[in-house]
Amino acid sequence: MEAAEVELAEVVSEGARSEDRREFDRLVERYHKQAYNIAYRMAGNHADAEDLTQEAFIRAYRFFGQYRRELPFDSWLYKIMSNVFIDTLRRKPKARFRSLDEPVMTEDGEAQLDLPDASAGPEEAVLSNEMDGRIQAALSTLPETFRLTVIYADIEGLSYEEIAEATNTNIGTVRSRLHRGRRLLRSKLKNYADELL
Amino acid sequence: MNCRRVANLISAYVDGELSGAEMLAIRRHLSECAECAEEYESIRLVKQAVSRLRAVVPRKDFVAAVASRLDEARLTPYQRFAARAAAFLQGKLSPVAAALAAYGVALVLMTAGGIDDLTPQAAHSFAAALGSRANEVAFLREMNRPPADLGVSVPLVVAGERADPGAELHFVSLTR
Repeated sequence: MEAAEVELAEVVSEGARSEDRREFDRLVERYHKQAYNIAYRMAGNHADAEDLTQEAFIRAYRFFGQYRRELPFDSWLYKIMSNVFIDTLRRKPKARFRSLDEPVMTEDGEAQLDLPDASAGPEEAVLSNEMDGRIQAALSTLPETFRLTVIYADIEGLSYEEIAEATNTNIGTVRSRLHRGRRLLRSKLKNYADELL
Repeated sequence: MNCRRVANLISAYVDGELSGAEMLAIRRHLSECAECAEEYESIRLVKQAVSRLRAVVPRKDFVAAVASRLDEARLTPYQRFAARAAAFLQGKLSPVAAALAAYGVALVLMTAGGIDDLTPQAAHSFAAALGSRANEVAFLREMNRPPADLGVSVPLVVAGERADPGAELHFVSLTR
C-alpha cells in the first residue's frame, strides 16, 4: 500500500506542477510589469513594490483554482492586488515615504524608469524625474484606499465600475474616494502648481 | 445646477462618469461660472499629472524572483499530495472539483457507488493514501465553495458529479 501511495504521488506530482505552473508562469511574464507599476505607485519605493507584487502573485497562485478562465486575468489580479496592497500597507510603518520638501532622488541602479520620450534631452528627463517624484510623494500621503482608487482610475484607466469590482466596493464609494483623493493631491501639489500642473 | 452640486460632481465629470443630462448641466454651468470652471481645470490637471507618471519597470530578473518565491511557497505534505493527485485526475473532474483541485488543498478519489456506500469505500481509498487519517473525515453531497470558506475542522469528502458510468467522484479536502 505504501509503495502504491508513493508511486501515485510521484506520477501526479510532475503533471500538477507542469500544468498549473506553466500557465501561471506565462501570466506572471505577461502581467508583472503592469502589476509592478501599480505596486510601485502604491508603495512609493522599489523594495516595497517588489514585496507587494510578489505577495500578490503568490496569493494569486494559491487561489488560482478559483480564477475563471473566461474573465481577463488582470481583472482578477486587480482584486487580489487590492487586498494585498491595502492589508500590507496598512500594517506597515510609513518610514520609507519621502516628504514633499526633501530633494527628489534619482532611481537606484536596481530598476529603471521607462524613458518617456526618446527625443527628450537630458534636461527634460531630469525635470520629468523631479515631477514624478513630487507627484509620487503627494500620492504617498493619501489614505491607501484613496491612493489605490486614484491609481486605478488615472494610471490604469479603469472605469468606476471596474474599480468598484476590483476594490470590492460600490460606485458611489469609488466616486467619493476619487473626488476626495484628487482634492487632497491638489492641496499637496499646490506649491508646485506651475511646474507640475 | 448650483455650485455646490457641481463641485461634488466635478471629478466624475472629468472622468465622463455621469449621466448625459448631468454632463450637459455641468458643461452649461461651467460656461457661466468662472469659479467652478477653475475648480474643473485644477481637478483635470491633477488627473493629467497622475496619468502622465511614467511606467516604472522592475529589475530584469524580477520574473525569476517571482518564480523562485512560488517554488518556496510550500504546501504541507498532505496539501502537496492532494494537489498532485487532483491534477493527475484533472480530466475526470467536475468543474467544482477541478476548481478545488487547483486550489491546492484537495485530493480526489475515484470510487464506485452512491452516497450511501460512500463512507466505507472512500475510507478504504482514503486509507490507501493517508493511513490512519482516514478516520478524520466528514462527508458532503456537494460543495460549491472552497473548503476554507466552509469553516469545517476536519477534511471533507464530497460526492461529486458522475464522471464515468458506474463511477462517482469523491472529493477530499485536506484543509487541516
